Amino acid sequence: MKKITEKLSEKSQFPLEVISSAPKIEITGNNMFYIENHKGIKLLTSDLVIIKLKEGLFVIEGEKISIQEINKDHIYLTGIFNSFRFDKILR
Amino acid sequence: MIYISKLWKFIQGYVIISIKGYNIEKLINKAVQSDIQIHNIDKKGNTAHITVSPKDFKTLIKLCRKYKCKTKIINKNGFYRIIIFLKLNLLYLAGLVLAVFFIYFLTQRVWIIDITGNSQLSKLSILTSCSENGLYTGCSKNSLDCKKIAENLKLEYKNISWINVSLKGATVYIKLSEDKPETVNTALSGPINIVSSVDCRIASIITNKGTPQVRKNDVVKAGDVLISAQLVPSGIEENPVTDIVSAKGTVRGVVTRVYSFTVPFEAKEKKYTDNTRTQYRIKFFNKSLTLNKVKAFSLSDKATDIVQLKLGENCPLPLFIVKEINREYILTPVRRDEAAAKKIADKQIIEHIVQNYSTDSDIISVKTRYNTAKNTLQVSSEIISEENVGKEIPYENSGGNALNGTTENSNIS
Repeated sequence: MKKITEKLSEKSQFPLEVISSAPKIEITGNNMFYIENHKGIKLLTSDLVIIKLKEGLFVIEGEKISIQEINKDHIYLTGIFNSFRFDKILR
Repeated sequence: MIYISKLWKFIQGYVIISIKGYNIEKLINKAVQSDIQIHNIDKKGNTAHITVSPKDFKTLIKLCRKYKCKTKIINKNGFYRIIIFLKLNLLYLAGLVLAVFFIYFLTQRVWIIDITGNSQLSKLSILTSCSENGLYTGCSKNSLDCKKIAENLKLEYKNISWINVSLKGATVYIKLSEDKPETVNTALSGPINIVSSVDCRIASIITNKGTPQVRKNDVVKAGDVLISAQLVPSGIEENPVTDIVSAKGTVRGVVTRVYSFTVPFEAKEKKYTDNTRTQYRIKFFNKSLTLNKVKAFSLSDKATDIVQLKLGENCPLPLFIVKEINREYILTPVRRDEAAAKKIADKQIIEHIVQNYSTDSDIISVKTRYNTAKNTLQVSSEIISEENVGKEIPYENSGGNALNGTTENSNIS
């Protein structure tokens, strides 16, 4: 299924995030973070936020992190961010 | 976009709640899946502050119970809260509506008519003409035709060479310039002599027109002719002119005046107490409304502070807040010593000089003598100054000739 959407994207020149549920991440400076196509929150503290994605986990480390807006489609975070990384799902 | 969503949230209203528990992440995920609008999530330890819309509040509380989280309302806010407040306070709402209407009404009127550039025409006559043309204090701005008013004023007053009427805020500015009148000095139209205004010793004499009658260091009396209107030939001219002109020139003389007065040793001085009473008044045109009644002191000084309410720089309203501060004082008898009395005397002499001597006068010397009497200090001050002593008077009325040492009339008939 993944390959089909990727091939379709390549052929039709549509952006991948439009036709698939791949996460789209937007970072502005070190204090604004926006993510689309998430699967919920795994952990939330003021220093660490772990967001569930289809591919695994997305780990955000920083200070004074808070969720400004959250719904089914996107999460908008503010705070002072130090690092971002993708992680595999720990089972 | 964020600001628009914040504004929308304010209009919708919001409730800030504190949630305490160990499954907050799961609760948030469940709330998101259930389409509950939550935002501004700030988590510290096992407590999170969450903002939720009023319509989703009950659903979230149910979810919290399901996930064994304790909830507490921290704040409720938003536009709906204001509406509820206004519904409950109808008088407040009526006052608010009235205030808005009142401010709107005031901004639609002309409250100040500012006239500049007039020297011959009085402001009152211009204002009277303006009121005939529909411009008066309190008139509507919408019905005002500045161009027509300017044209009518120009037609009415022939000596207006240029006029501009403009409206800015609640102020109408009338700027005009007038034709300069031809100044005819009817009093001194004929030939004039320059005579001395006081008894003095001549310090300098500069003659532009006429015949000088005095020299430097001459002692003259008040009324003596200093520069004569009659031209006297010196004998060296080819064509001697014997004419009567208007004398012109500058004559400065050294004038000695004595200023005497007494300073009593016993007097009463003002001593302010710490008691002050402030009265506030609201002034609307000529009518004033006292906000707090204050009993007047038997002896007090009053300082008044007036603040005009304005909606911006060009939109003053005819509303004034008047603040009157009454400071109580008592008169205490004091016994001055000689030094203090001399100090007061010196101050009085300086005040006398400032008030009675013109700016072109030069004070040469001030000699003061003090005599101590029984209860007063008698002060006599001799003030010597150099000043313009020439005074123009008609040639026919002039007196004697100082140069010739006579005081006879020097008129030629």
